[in-house]
Amino acid sequence: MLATASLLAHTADLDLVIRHVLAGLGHGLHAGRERGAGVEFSEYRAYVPGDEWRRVDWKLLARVDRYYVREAERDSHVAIWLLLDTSASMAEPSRAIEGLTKLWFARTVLGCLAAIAQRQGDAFGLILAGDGRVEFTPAARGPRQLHKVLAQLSRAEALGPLPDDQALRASLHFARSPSLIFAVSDFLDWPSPLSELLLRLRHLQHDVRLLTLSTQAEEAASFAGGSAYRDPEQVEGLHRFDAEARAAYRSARSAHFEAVTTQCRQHDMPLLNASIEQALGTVLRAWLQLAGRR
Amino acid sequence: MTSAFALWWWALPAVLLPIWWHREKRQRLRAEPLATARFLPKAPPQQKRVWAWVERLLLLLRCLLLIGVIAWLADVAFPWRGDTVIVSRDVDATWAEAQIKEAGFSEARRLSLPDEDALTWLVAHEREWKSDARLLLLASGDAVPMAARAPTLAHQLDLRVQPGVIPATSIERHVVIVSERGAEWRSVFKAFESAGQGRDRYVIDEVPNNKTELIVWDKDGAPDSRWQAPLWWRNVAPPQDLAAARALYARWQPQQPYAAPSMKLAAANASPALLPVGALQDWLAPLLALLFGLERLLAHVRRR
Repeated sequence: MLATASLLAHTADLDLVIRHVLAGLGHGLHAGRERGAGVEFSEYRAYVPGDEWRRVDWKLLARVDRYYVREAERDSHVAIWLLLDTSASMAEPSRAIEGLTKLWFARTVLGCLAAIAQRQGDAFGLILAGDGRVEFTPAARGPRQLHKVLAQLSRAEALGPLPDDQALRASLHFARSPSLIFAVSDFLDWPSPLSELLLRLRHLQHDVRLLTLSTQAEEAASFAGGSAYRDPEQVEGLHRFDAEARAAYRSARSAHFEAVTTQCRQHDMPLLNASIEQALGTVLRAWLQLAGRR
Repeated sequence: MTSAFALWWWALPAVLLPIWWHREKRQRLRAEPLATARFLPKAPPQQKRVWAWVERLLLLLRCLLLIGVIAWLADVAFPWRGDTVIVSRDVDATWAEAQIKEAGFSEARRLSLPDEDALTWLVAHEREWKSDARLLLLASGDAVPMAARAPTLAHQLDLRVQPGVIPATSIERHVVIVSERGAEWRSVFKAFESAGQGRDRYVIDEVPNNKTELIVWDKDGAPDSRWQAPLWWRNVAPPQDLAAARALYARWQPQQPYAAPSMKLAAANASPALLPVGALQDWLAPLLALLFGLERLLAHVRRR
């Protein structure tokens, strides 16, 4: 699996990686999957590359010699929101697999979710929170939206700090209808404007699901000693790592994530801790199942 | 006495300060980014200065500014002396008091003349006097040599020379006379002695020694080859009249400087700013202002 993870990490084509991961996932995982493209006919729409062939109306093709796709009225109004933390700390690389970063892992997981949402015919949108601002892609359906979201995800870079409270609050307007929010971050900042936003969304009765990413080196505290480290989101201040720092690091880190887990449990937000060296498919499956168990 | 302001040049090493401060700071350790660094204990910042300089233009401006300020300080002299009596060393105290009272300088400060030419010293230090100050210079007979031209001073100078002061000790001058007419030569030198107003006393020796200044060889035959003197008079007859004696005396005696007589010098229109010292003032002050402005500008730009 390691070789595959390494290979995947070096694949620039996000679409290809998503196909690979979803092929391993099998079908029928998502609990809220709708049947087909709807039963009640709503309207015809011109065919766009990426539409499933089975949704093309062949009789209409024979009559007007153009491809049309049948759009159905949907019962469900649940929108899926993909929230990605693109602050500088997400650039943390795996110290075991070269080329693999938290951002790459997070982006691929969210890409897979977008693909699943598109297959189900759900509307989905994307929120990138990093470099002090929020990039917002409104929710929509269809293959074009998938391309848009995947392009946004591929373009995302881990830079700067998290956006502040005001910037995040300004982007809250998306959550009017009941939505399903998938947020991926390292959650090293907690409480933070991002955690406040997630809690607020949860209070608005949205379904908020969190994925916390870490690396094996972070979990095992196996950094190279003797070197000085700095926090990528803070300009000043150096940190040292040695034998006595290891114990302090372990206790501080576990205390932090215990607090995060406790708060998530209190607010009924499913939280999955994963390391980026794990197989992507496994993590994705575990995350979806975790939410499904509720 | 040189101007105390010139001591400011010793402040030049202050230029080393900005050179030291502008040394570049570098992080001693190259820090690796680590997302979970916040869980690690803080390390003290490890920076060191290296022998490379940052903001070199600003550094150059600051050095120039410092050098300029030091030059300005070394050059500037604020006039602070008022009416002054300058007294030469040999002057008789009672005569000096009488002169001071007569000239109306009783309230003035006394200044003893430094051990050099009084008028030259005055010209060099004139900018130390306020523009309305008057000067009284009391000197003994030959303390103030006569200059070719009257000195141009921006202040009114009253020079009073004490007349008839003869040095207490006379100078011995050794002469060797080898002549058939020894008595005549002796009387000639006696006359020279009185002509010199007792300043010189002639000692007639038989044989030259190392003090001998003159050998008069008024005799046939060659002198001993070991005899040495700076001056020889050979085949010269003793002068017979006053004019010849005076000509001989004038030829031999070294040129004595003429002492200046008592005189009053009115204040010339020369302003002390035109004097050689302080010449930097005119253009140094605007240059310093310009440098200071540029330095502030650059320092401000750097902070932004």
